[in-house]
Amino acid sequence: MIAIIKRALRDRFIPFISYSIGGIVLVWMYIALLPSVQQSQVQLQDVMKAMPEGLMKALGVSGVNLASLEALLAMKQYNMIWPLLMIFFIVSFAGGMIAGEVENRTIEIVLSSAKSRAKIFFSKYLSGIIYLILFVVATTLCAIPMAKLYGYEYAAPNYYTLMYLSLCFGLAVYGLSILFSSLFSSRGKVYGISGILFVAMYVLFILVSLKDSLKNLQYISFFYYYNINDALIHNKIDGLSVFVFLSIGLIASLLALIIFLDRDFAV
Amino acid sequence: METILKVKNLKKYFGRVKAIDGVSFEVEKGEILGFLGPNGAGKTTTIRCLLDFIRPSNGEIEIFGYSSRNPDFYKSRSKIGYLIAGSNLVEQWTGYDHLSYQEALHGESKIKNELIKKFSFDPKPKVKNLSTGNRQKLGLIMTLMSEPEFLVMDEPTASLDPILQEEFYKIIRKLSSEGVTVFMSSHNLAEVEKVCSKVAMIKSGKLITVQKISALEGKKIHSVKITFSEKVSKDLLVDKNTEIQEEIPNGFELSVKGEMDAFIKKIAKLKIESISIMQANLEEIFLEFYKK
Repeated sequence: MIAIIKRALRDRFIPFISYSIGGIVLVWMYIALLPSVQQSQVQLQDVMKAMPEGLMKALGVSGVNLASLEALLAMKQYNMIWPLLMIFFIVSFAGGMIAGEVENRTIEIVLSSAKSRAKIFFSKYLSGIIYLILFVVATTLCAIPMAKLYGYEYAAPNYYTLMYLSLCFGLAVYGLSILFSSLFSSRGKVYGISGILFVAMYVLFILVSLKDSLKNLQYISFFYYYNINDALIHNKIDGLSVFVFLSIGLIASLLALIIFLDRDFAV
Repeated sequence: METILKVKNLKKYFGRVKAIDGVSFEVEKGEILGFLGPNGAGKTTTIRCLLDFIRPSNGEIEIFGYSSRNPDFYKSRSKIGYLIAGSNLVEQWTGYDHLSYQEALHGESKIKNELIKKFSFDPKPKVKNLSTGNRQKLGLIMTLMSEPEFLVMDEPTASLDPILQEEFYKIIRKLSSEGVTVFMSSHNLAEVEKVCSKVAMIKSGKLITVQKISALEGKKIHSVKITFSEKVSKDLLVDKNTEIQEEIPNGFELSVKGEMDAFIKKIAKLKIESISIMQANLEEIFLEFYKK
């Protein structure tokens, strides 16, 4: 089991490092921009007043004091850029892990060993969880030492709350991606279907924010539950969000396991 | 004799396509079974079922007493060496990466370095930079390095040069003499004739025959070229064992199945100008089976 985990981690180390560094560099960039954002706060508030309230909510900037580091990061980094980064990383990781190996038939190497399918699945699954945790921790908590370095005020507990929420969100994305990876025999299909699903969720989230008549549809978008303002600015995490994310992650992962145990590995 | 592999009424359907349709055979310890068939006959599908890459639609496989119907079937693979095709190796890994991973999965190998030397293989480059032949060498080393008791190989000598093919045959014969059982698919009759002790022929998902090579060679099919000094109607010659292959000036080329006695007695009454009789080789016997 350890051998499979080690191998999976080693094979995907470069994408992991690249995405993590990308996430950290973006946080660093926004932290460095904080003084200029604070200086232009008056103009920014005027621009924001001119924008529709729904869109402001969707962007997570409604009623927020942009002068704080947490508000800046919530608006600029964690509302859209970070989820996209995380989704790209997780979907590409999960897609390559099963569907990608079935596609180029390299999965035969591990399947021809005396390991049960359950063990093979869990080894691969765990390697994804390890990178997901490391990615989330690195790209959320990195703001604390950076803020310290620049001598800015920061609310450390808020970043831990952000990390918990992001981790739950990541587990749901990972669960669905690994389900698609277990189901299909080509990574293209996994990327395509996951991409369509998550983009549709995001578009729906924006539409719902702009149009009250679509309000009931908000519950089917992950982005509704990924309430960054509450987590990062107000240090609050909604129990429903955690429940939805963890339930979806768990159910999708279990389905992925069931499919993996019984499917044909042939293209 | 200990039976290593038992395949009982194996069926694998992909929708309406019957890739394997009721295949049954057994392989005894130390045997080298050549699994012969044209493309699309069901050879690779059978091998994939043996390794549990795909699940049978019906029937049962038993390897070392582990049944495909039981959840512990995967344990049979601890004694199996499966030849990974060169194209199914990881492009970004080096030869060393593959060999180390194989050791991590199957246990430390005592003969890894010996095999590397025997096959003159350089394990340092990445697989994407290896020639097809070198990929095949790597696959063979990976298969043999865990010293398995049962080898399963899908077209093992494809893309090996003749010298390496000979080296491979030598290794396989030596392993077989030490009690290792081999199941190998092939298109190549000459290869099967050279290295295998038993042959199973498959066509359109159905097993046509399973025979010892020696028994197959003993199948009596003769090619007869005969000319007459008188006009002879072909109806005089044709019966259930005798077929006209070609009409030639003043005569025929025939294939005669079974004992020659009846045929000789029949033509003895005719005025023969010339006659040549040759026993069919394995290829002709094989083609005869596929005509059915």
